[in-house]
Amino acid sequence: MLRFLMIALMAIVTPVCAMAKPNPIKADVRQTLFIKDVELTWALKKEPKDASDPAYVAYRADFEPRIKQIVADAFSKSPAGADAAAFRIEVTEFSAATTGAFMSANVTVVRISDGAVLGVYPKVRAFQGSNGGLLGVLVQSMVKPDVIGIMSGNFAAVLRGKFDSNK
Amino acid sequence: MRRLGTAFSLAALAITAQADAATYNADPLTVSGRFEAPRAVDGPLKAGIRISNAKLGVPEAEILGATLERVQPALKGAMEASLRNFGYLAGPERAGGVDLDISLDPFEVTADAEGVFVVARYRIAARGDGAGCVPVVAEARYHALAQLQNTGKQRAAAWVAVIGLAAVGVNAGVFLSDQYATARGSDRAVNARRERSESEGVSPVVGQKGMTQFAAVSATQLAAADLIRQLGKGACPTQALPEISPDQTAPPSQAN
Repeated sequence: MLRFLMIALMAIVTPVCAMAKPNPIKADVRQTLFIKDVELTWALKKEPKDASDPAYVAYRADFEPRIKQIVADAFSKSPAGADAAAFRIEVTEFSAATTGAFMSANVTVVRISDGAVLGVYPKVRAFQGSNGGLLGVLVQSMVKPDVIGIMSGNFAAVLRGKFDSNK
Repeated sequence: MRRLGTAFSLAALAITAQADAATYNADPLTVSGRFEAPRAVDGPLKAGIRISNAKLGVPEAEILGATLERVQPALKGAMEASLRNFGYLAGPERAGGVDLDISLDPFEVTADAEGVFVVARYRIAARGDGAGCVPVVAEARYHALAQLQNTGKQRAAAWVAVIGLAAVGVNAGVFLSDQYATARGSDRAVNARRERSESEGVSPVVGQKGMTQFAAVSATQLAAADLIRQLGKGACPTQALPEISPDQTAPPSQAN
């Protein structure tokens, strides 16, 4: 139940946060880049209680390669500059279960040629969860959708929005 | 009810106006540093090319997803950005150099069992110093794969629930749309796992029109990459070589 409430809260808070922060990388700099690498590190604020649970371990193992692939795909066509850059995704919060998944990460953009940090997108958040009430949770637990894949896709979309923002 | 209808009409108008005013994103047509191609070497083409004109037909613009007025400047901008990325674009201070008129042929579209093939071809007319070093045709083919949809049970379960709820007088429209959003997310996740290459990929859009657009954009980008790669093959001397006198041509051992 707590997880469900947390997801509902994130649904409200995330767009508000996205609007509030100015883009740390100016448009003219962004246009000189292309995203060559996506790296992932773990820096969880708090280790979950079920960290050694096989299901949780399996979710994490599934998550790592897939989020890298999905983010790389989301940025494969744009930006279309000449300088190779990397996204360093530092995962600070992560939870996953049949009923939903949630993550928060700080994303650092690094120019590969000289290692310069071009900007940091803090607290990029994404989740997957049914908002169809108890019935939605029931259907979700029956159907078992790909919570990691959907959350990763949502994360890539949120990051894309922050990266493209001209505010 | 009438007020609601007016609100929807105004919202639709606003969205349409916004879409028309938005510039066409040239990035997907641009050859970024991601593409393996040599950078310009010393010679007439290095920082020596300008794009005078970029043309395409109305049907090609529509296949690329917008009106001619929006796509044509984007096509020129994409080619200029591609040349800049590899060191070929002339700066404003550059005298002489090569001027290019590029035009995009009608796309060749062929559907197959897995998706759609599109061939894109640029015709290039060059004039100025080094014009002979520029290829006259650059082309590429792209295969867009149709999306897989494997989450039928999510949609089916949603409909069963909706029908059940309707029987007891509950409108479950929000629930249905939420379940469909989950199903679409699942589809995207499944398709993200599929292998892809430079000349083949899964269309992010469902349907023949969207798939053709994706393939056409990708093929146009690859045709520009073909031009960049041909420029890098050095059909012309890449730099002026110093004159060699006859006695310098002998191997060192013989010269001694």
